[in-house]
Amino acid sequence: MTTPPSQTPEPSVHIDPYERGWIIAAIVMLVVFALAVAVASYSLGIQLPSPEARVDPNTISSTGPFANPGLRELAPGRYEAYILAIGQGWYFNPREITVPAGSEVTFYITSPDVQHGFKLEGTNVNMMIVPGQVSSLTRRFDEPGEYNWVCHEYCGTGHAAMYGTLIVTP
Amino acid sequence: MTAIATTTSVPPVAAAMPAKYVLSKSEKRFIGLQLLFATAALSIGSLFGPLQALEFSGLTIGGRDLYALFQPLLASYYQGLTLHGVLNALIWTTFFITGFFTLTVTYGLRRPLAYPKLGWLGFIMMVLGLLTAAVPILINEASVLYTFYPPLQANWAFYVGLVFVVVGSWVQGYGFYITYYRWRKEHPDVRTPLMAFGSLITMVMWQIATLGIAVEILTQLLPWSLGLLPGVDPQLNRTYFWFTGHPLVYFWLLPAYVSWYAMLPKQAGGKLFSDSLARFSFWMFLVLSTPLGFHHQFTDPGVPTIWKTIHAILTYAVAFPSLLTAFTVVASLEYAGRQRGGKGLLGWIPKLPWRDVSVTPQILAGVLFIFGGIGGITNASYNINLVIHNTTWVPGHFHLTVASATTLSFMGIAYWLVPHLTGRTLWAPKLALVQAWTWFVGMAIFSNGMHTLGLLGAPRRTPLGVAPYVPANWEPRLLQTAIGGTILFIGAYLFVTILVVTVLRKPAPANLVPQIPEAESIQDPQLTPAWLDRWAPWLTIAILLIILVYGPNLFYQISNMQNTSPGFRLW
Amino acid sequence: MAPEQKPDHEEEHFKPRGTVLIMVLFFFTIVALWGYVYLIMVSQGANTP
Repeated sequence: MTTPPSQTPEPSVHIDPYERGWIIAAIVMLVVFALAVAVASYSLGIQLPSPEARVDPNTISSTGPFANPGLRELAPGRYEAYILAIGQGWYFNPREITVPAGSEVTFYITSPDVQHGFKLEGTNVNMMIVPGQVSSLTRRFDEPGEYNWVCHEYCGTGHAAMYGTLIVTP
Repeated sequence: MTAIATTTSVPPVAAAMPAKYVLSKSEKRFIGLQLLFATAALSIGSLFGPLQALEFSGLTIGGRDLYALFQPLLASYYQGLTLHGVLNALIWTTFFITGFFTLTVTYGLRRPLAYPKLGWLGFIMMVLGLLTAAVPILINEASVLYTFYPPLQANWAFYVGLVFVVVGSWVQGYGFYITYYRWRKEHPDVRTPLMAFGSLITMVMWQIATLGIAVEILTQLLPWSLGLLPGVDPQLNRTYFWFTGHPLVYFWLLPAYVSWYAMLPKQAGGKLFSDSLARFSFWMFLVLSTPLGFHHQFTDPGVPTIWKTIHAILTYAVAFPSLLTAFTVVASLEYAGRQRGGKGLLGWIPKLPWRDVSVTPQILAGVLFIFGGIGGITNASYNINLVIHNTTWVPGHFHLTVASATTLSFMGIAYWLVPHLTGRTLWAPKLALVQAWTWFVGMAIFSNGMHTLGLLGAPRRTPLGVAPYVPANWEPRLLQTAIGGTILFIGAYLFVTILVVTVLRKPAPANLVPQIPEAESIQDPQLTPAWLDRWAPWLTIAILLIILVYGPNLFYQISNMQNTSPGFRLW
Repeated sequence: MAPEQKPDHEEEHFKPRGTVLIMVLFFFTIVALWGYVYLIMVSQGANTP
């Protein structure tokens, strides 16, 4: 700008009209995305894990529900699955769970040692497994088939071997 | 350091700043030394990239996997992955950034550092930290990856080393602040030159953000690894870590933005499209970079969904300044292309200086970052995160940010900066262009493969070549990432070779050595309102927002701390 | 070289029309790619804590 000092315009935020248009478009886009996410959460019920329980990783394998991990039937078609993600040997206990189609399963998962992950193939069941915390999500299984779950957090040399299978029988 | 310019048409305030500043020999040596460490880290860290990628393809030699060839030098995939992450994501970036910022602050403010020795002190701390952390990593005592989640427990020296690297970068930052303070006292009414402005904001953001890992290491991990604390609280440490972990991404990214805003328009032959919106973007990053770390913890068991929701919204908000940057930078390039004779709607694109070794890598970095940004918005989207959390999508994503927007821009910067510092001309500029395109193509192939694999459910941080559960439909994508990773390796080593040969060349005549590019803005920065150049309001908002959205849950987690996890060494 | 020296009136009339086109393409790319993953999420069904 070459305006002499005496004519210098007042400072102001100069926004090009096209750029203003982009700003509005960007904000509208983000708001619409947020609304779509809210719909998926509240109307479609695709929700995140939230604090379930705290436990002592040093005693978890010997006391409480995780002392005998596995599937429990609460009512016809309603199950609880207690699963331990174990880094010392790199395996899930149990490694396999079988439920009939149409079942609703609540997963309770924790670790007696290091952090792990739990992602169930083809579903939105995806959780961090943190020692001292119980991770939990509930999900209904209608389609018969075999679904692997994998550990997705580094937990030592044998991490790649760590997986399990949910079998949904017809 | 007062008025030099005498032209009457220059407004008086701007005239108070000299037009140029010539870096002294010792300043050049100081910056150059930091770039040397950065590049050395990149050259070592990049060795492991193709190993990881080829492991994915299931490549074996004589029936043994690739890692068997390197034993006992390299114990495992994970020792290699730790080296790759620490050296490339933490060391290459941090050393490059402190070196580059030394230049942007001194040149931007047209004055030497107030206390050069403070800069050296910080740098020496960083080097000592690097060496201290390197020892346990190299002897396989710290194969905990660059997120070092407890209760996997590294040797204490690993944590001490990280602290020194971070604190060293703080000390260099203190030197920038004092320099800025002195400049400001002499120039109360001048808008802070943009390259210094962006760098200072980035440094302040970094110093606020790194409080998270500072507290994590000093109150939990270090005493625990020394045997002074029997256990730690893993969930609390994840929260501390991600307090730092996301703004860390902006610490990598914003130096590239400094170059895209304050240098690239000049290099491309144009001007910055909007000075005020550039400044506004940087302030938004200061305010919003930190109070959103829970979006990395959407699937964590120990964080209530209400805080996850709030942090998701704030993460959407921080996407905004990047979307703004996209427009401003592209418009600046369009202006440059039109100045160079470009006509029509898109005719300015071919007119851009595509033969410029510094411009092309930075534009390509920006193109890759478009997809990094889209992936980032996807990650931030609360329950959509369930689809891709901790899958290979995530490393696919951050290779478009830190390994493209940041690293490819830094490569473009190095192509003028290293010749400038050493008084050489760049060796084989055509090869440098080939290098940039190699990186671009390799990254496009690699990250597309990683994103797709992630959508198919492949877990990250996993040597999938040996995993027992890999279905057939992952195989072509695993091969794709192996090809992309190999091309990237070639790109990395072309870069290192070009720099090494450049430095070893004979000094060139001064008129052939590249100068520091500083972009003018279409609108005089003095016409940008003063509130966009004042620290107090923005810093206050930044700190208040952190207290508001981190305070309650952090207080809850700390007061309910259960230090029940002893250390494990499962590698 | 110093700023604010060259009177450049076309600067004031510079309309970044090409940029707008690129941003429109960018916008639809974001919506398409984000929407693609959104639909994957929806197809993978409900979760409750």
